[in-house]
Amino acid sequence: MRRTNSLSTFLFFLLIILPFSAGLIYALLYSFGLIGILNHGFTVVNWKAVLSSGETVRSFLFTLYIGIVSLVIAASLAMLYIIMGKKKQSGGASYFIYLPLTVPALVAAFFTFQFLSKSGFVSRVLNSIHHTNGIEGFPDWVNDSFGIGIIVTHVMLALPFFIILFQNYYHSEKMETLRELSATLGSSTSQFNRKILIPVLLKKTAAPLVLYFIFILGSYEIPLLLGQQDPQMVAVLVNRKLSRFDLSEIPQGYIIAILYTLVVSLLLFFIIKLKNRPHAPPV
Amino acid sequence: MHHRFSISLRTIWALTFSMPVLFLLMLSLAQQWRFPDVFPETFTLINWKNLMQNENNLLQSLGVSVIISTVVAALATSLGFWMSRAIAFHPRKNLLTSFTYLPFVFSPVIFASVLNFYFILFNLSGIIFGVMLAQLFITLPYALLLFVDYWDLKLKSLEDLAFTLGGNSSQAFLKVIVPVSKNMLLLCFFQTFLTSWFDYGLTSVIGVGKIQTLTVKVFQYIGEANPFYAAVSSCLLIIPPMILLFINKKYLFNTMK
Repeated sequence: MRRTNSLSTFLFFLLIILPFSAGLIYALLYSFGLIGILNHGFTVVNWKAVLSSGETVRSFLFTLYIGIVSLVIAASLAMLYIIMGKKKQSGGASYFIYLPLTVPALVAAFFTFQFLSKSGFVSRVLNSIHHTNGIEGFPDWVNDSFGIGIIVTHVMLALPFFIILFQNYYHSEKMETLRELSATLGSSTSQFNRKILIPVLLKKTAAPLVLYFIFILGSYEIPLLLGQQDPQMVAVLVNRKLSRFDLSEIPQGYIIAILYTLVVSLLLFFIIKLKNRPHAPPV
Repeated sequence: MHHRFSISLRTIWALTFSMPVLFLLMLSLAQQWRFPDVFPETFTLINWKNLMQNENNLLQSLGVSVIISTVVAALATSLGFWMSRAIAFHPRKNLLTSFTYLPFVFSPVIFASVLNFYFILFNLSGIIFGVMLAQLFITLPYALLLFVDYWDLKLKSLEDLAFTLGGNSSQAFLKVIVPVSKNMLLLCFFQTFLTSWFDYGLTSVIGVGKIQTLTVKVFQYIGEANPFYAAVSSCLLIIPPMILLFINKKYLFNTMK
């Protein structure tokens, strides 16, 4: 048994710790000019360039904006669904709520493009009922500066996930019993929703919600298809800089990757704290 | 009246959630879809036929995707389950669990980008094995996190009972622990299968366009401005998870406690 355990620990270091550390060390060495084709020894020029570049700041702010707005809309809609209607999944209709979970991010982005772009399905429907006048009459909902297409796609993918998550906790936290109790004590439905249901569900699901937020921040395919040239979401910007023909931009790509890692590490630290507190929800 | 209202509401709800699937199916059957037309003029199976012919290699891509996802899911699930035991009963369990989150600090495509150098160095770039290894770096920690909380005193007592009855450690693991954990193993297999099946970022960076999985094909067709072929490939990507959902939705979403 001891031999099995030490082999497990060895594999843990080999397949989990090593790839992460090797990737981070390579990125750090490259960013300080210590390795790489065009680098000639230690320098902080690249770091200075990235930290003072508007493009990096815009990219981080845009990524945070997409993450926060998508998360807030999806969680609010899911909460509304719980408050207004179904508290659990049952019957044939429940099959449909799972359907968006079968759609990969790339396909979801492709769907949004075909559905919401200027020549997309919605534009054609509005044109046919004379609400808009041709392609130009339809607003920019994809590749736009507000990231509408990106947000819509993230909400579409997150909504079923959040509904099912909230429903699970609705039952495990015995909300139905609490609802009856609060009614007996004289509270109205709206008081129950505001003071008990929403706070309890949000507190219990905080860790998975933050994990999903990280997933949105790191998304690649969706902003790649539906985003614009500037600002780009961080994963798209990093990959663009690393795969460009202009080799001088490669160190900058690694620096942005390191900065992104720092931001997400702080968020993960927060999740682990949440998870390790007593009576923590399973993540 | 109320009953009828609730049925129509349910239909609207069902239609909303199935919209992406229905829309992609429609697009896969279209050949021309000029602007003012709300729906394509004609519906035909020609796109499906064309892509199923050998020269387009879509069936080959389907095969590559199935092989990569099955191997990655099988490896991540079996290794993850086996390794999670050591972590779950490790004196520094919390620290090791925290380390397991590390690969998620990178977004998958960023992770692939910072590791690309090593993959090129060890000749793992542009080959199926390289893509599988890269995907294992993401799916294995996921499996570990899923399993580490699964090991509890009850499971440990079962294992101890097997020892008391004269079983050795591999017998206890393979003949007692694995069979009682069947549902959890299946859940992990399907979730890691889907992670691999849905992946585009890791595969495109490590596979450098040579490993043509279905997601890579979808992106290629979008790039070639051929939405109809992209829709066919998208349908092929969605169908397996839909079948899985139909068989048993609990494997698609972690509702087991």
